[in-house]
Amino acid sequence: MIRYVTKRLLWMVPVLLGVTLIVFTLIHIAPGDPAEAALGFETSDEIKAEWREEQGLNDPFLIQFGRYAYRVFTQLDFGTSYSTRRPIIDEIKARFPTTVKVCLVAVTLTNLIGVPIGIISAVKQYSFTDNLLMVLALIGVSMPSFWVGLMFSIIFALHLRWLPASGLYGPKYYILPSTALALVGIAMSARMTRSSVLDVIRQDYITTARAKGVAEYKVIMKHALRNALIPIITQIGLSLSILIGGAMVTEVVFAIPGMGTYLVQSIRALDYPAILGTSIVIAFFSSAILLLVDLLYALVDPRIRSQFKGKKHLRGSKA
Amino acid sequence: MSEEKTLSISDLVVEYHTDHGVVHAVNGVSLGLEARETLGLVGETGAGKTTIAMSILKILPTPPAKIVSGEVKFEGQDIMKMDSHDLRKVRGNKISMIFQDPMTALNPVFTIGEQIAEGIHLHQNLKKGDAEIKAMEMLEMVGIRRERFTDYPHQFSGGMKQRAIIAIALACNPKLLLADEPTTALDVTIQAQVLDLIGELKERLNTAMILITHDLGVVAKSCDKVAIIYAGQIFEYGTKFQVYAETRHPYTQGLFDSLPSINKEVPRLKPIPGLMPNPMDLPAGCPFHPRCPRAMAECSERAINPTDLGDGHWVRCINPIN
Amino acid sequence: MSENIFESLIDTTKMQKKRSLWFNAWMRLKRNKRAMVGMVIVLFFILIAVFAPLIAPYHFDDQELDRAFQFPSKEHIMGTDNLGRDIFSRIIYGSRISLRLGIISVAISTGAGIVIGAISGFYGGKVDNVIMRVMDIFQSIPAMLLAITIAASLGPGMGNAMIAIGITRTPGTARLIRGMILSIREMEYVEAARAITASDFRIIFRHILPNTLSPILVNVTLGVAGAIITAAGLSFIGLGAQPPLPEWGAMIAGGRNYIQRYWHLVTFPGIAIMLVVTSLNLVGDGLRDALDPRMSR
Repeated sequence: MIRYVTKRLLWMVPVLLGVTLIVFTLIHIAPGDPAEAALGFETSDEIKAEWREEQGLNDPFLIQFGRYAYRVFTQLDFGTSYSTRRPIIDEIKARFPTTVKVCLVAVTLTNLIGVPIGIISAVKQYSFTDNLLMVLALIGVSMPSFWVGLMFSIIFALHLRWLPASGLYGPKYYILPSTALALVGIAMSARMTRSSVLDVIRQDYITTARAKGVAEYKVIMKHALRNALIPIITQIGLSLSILIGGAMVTEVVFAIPGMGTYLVQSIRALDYPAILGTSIVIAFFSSAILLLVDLLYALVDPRIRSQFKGKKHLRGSKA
Repeated sequence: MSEEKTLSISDLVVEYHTDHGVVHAVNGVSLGLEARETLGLVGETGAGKTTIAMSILKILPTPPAKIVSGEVKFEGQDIMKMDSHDLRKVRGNKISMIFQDPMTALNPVFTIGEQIAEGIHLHQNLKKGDAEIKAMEMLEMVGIRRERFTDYPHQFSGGMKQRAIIAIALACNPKLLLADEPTTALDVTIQAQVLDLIGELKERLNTAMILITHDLGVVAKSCDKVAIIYAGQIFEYGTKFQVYAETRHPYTQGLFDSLPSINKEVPRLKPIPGLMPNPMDLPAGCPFHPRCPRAMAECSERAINPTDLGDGHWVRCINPIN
Repeated sequence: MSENIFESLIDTTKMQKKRSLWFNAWMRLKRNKRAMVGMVIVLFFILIAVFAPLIAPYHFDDQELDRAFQFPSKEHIMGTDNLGRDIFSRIIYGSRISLRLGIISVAISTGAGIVIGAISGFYGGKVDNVIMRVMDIFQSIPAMLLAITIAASLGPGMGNAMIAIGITRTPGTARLIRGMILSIREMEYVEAARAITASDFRIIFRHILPNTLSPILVNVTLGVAGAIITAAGLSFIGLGAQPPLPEWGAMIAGGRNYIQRYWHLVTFPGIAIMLVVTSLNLVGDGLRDALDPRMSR
């Protein structure tokens, strides 16, 4: 088990470096003059040249990347924002928790609602309930979450006046953005849960359990679900990653001061260091979640667990 | 008859309703089994053997399976009419089943011990701890060390998995054991061991057994009675001696002819010509007539009823071998 | 000479198998009501896109400022937007843009995915390991974020949005192709082709890829659906199609500031997205079920 955890943790290093490299390269090849973006149009050419030299922009690409990665990994230094002239890490610190909260609420809703729907659908395969739920789920995965957000604000904020439409000044403000995000997530999770439960229900060991005299609900809740949990966990990780992506756009709809809104603002302002920093932090966050999911896996699946335990009983496992 | 038969099936008909049509898997099977008796159910793959076994426990997946008609009486009670509560008291307790493929029949996320103890806990009113002790005893009974109790299925070899499944099946001292090709998926070297184990434990626990197989050798070794099954019908039924030595049905004869033998000098084995008919589209009359060397015009015209030959030996053929 | 005989033999057996496979799949698909409904709607949208100028009552950029913000009426069945443009006409023209965005970005990801996945799956070993780890890294970035970052670095515009979405979807496709190839590589007809020393290139393109066709087809259908949603998201934050192009996401973005009083500016383009994507998903789901041999009950 410890070997597994260490192995997975070590793998994070190349992942984070790789993610940084990808995003850094992307921003590096972006057209436009960073000096102009940072200093404005009117700045004289000499000052711009001086600034470039000072920022190390004349150095070879790999050196620039090395320097950037070194600062990021050792000092969490993402540079200074072109538009506010403040350290980007400060801007991120102010916004990151908001995004995490919105996503956590959404992912909780997603799985609390989506997984049971998927189970019900699978157990009642081909029934009216199943057909209805699955058609709804299919429509659910076919809507952009930012549009769902807009529809929610029109209905629940502007017409019914139940909830605030934008901003973030209290718990009430999380409800619309999180449910808008969750709606798509629920639909996804229901579909995936259904298919993984269906896969498991067809297995021989389910018949074995029935033949033993285990009650039907226990066959599903104990024997089937414990196995279906393995793919369901992957899907929770996946859904969180998709939710984070969706949050980038949905935050804009609700004017939530989170990472998404900041990213979009920075893109409009051509604030490259800010785009870079925001993207990297979010990518780090989502890789950390994928790591967690992998570790959870090992808890649920004895086959993975023992793969990294001792070689005690491996003798028998081949035949 | 003073004592109730352990099992008596009459006129069982089972179909599978699929996208492509109706599969006629079991077409009017009747058979009986006394206490402690072993019946060999012999037939090719797809003859409907597993469907019969699963009908006895009523664990066929419905849909697509559909039990159209028939009675399955276990100790006088019709299983087909039981509600789910009563059924659960029979399953794994009075009737249990050993499955074909030990590699997939155990739940990968529970320990072997948990899986054996589960049935004991359910049926014997034992506390979890006591059930576990009993489960360990079962494990030793099938020849696996007690310490392997907390192992997971993937840590067991195929033979050991099948032993564990036998332990699950026999844990509650069932009256009837359904063994569905228990050795087919195993290495040849282990097959005999597992078969001997089943036979020995069955004797010790006074259990009746239906042994499903396509291996006539296995039947000769372990069964009292034999039912030869083809396209969902029993073609010949009788004691082992009757069916082996006084073979009457041409299909049974065909099965024997296609076997190699040490005693007889045969220039070439005789396979039965043709293939099993498509169970979705069975030929009219006797389903074997297109392949049968003794077929007559009448064979394709009407359904064939069994003929009683006396002493419990009967055959479903109008032109049997003498 | 002998090589040709062998290969043609291998091919004929394969052909027979394949024809019945596709035929059966089609029969199963035809019985799937949901998939058929989806297919009809998709075809409907394709027709609309092709004949947009004939169907649309107005041009997508006909501005009539004195008619701005009209609610749905007989003349403008979906109302008009802030510049007095007919929303219905814009949605009709928009179907051209959305479908093109979806199809081209998936074409990019499928092309790149096939090449990368084929190399990875066929050569295996170190090459495979390195490629797959790189794909892992790409996939650890949320897809939407990656698309935004790529689009941001390339700059706004339809072409760049397609490239961004194409790149974002490539790792998934590559992984799918690789998985297929790994399983097919071991099959007998590939062994046979190898036994007669057919070249790697020939084995990949003649024997392996045709057999990965059905999962690719499913992946493409569902991919176009996903790409349309992503594209709408990019346009919404100003990175995709630029005004005055009537891309649906861009239309939603344009109407966003007026939702307080005019709901119709954002509602109809969203419904259009939902309809197209739902029906593409229906077809994709149906195809997957129809092409999956396990599904034939």
